Amino acid sequence: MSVSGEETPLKIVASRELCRGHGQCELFAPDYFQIDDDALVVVVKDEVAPEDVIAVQDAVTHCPEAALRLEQARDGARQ
Amino acid sequence: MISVQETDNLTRVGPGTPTGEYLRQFWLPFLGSDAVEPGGEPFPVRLLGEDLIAFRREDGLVGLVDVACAHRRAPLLYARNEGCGLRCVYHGWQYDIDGQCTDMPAEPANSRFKKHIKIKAYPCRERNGVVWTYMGKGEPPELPELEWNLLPPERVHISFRVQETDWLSSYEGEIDSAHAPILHGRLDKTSKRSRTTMARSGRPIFDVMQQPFGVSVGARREVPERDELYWRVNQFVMPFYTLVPPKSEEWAELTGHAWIPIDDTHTLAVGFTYLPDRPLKERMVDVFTHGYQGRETGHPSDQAQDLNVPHNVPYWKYVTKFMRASNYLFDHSLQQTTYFSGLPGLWVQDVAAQSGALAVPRTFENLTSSDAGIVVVRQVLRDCVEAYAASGELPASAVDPSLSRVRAVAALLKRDETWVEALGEFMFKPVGDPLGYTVP
Repeated sequence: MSVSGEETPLKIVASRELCRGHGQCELFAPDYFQIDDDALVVVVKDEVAPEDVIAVQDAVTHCPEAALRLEQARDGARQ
Repeated sequence: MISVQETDNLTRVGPGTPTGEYLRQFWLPFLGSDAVEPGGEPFPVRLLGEDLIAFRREDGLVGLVDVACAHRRAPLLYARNEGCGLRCVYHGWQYDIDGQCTDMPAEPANSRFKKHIKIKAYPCRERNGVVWTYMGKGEPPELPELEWNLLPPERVHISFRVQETDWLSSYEGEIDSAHAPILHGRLDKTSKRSRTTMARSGRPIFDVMQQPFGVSVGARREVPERDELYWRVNQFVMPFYTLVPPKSEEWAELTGHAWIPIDDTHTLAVGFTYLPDRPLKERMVDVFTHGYQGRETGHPSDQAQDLNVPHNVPYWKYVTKFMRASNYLFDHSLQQTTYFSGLPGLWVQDVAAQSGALAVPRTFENLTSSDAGIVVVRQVLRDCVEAYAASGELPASAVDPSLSRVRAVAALLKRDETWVEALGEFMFKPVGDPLGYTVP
């Protein structure tokens, strides 16, 4: 949590070691995920805007390889 | 002398076994070209204990891939053979001959998952009606220069059949020439077979020699009313080929087998009969293809296949009626009238005799003087398997394809002649050359 009491944004953590290119993340949250030419995930932007949280959480939940997770961003990370 | 345990170890051929890993370093002639049609039914194969599926792509190339789809293990036996490969009927995943998944029609259009999916696949090559595969490590060597697979088709007859024996018991039957005039003896006095020099000659004395290609198993016999000795030199070519010399001047064909281990208890017998320099006689091919007077001959006839075998049995096209379950169609009454053995035909007699080894432990075995070739080949194989397991070292014939270019020989020699010196030139003739001697 931030010092001000506002919720810190969520941050996407993706493992290219676990990813196998299913593309589910890209389907649910195309602004945040792309599959590159190696058929592996690329995180386009890692901080999740509040209005996109549900879409990104769907992307994480539907990853067949459990290659994605969300973390609370550290306060310092916002500055 | 190699121990019973060491001998049994040579019959264990599955993945991870010392013998299995050794044999994987050689090309395997595992399929007849006509067994798989372009775009036709996938064919179940088992090699060295691994279940696999062979198929011929619509463009003619042959693939040999894992038995199950990488998705949820549906059998690729039921796959559609279309386009660039096998398409699983469960969810439509398609595989090319290199095992690469090329299509996943039930996945979202943006999915790149297929790029990460590759099933087990072994490289195949095709030469003169035979499909070969290599299951070993690294880049395969060139195909071995075995004469029977280098000649035009009219000079060779090749057949495939499954037998219920371990591969050791199978090939050992063909380097032991002592059994031939006995097991294959006929009571019909008009039979040409009974008039061969081998059948008329006496008890064999063996002289065995290790060679760069494997082992030569020489056997000499006294011939009635002749001063010469009758020599037959069978060859064991590493790792599982046997070559048999001609039987007579009239039947001057060279014969032999590749004994391909299907698993620990089944062997694919790839039989070949050939004349190096001219076409086989039409009558001979006819006898091989259709049998002779209702009996089997040197090859399984077109009547031999068991048509009731389900298509999920490995090598179902090569399973015959002459199996343990049918008692090899043995008929005791024939021992009084036709066959010494009562078993209906040459190859049936061999396989029935060889099959005992599975039912009875090898501890019951009592080798004798006529088994000299068997003893030496077992030792050579054990040493090769151990060397490969210890250091990855392979015999020269595994990497030099020209070493497999050798013939079996039969000849009459003077008593003071040695077979090594007198017959050497006939053993190493160029492919397609005449025998160079008159078969006794």
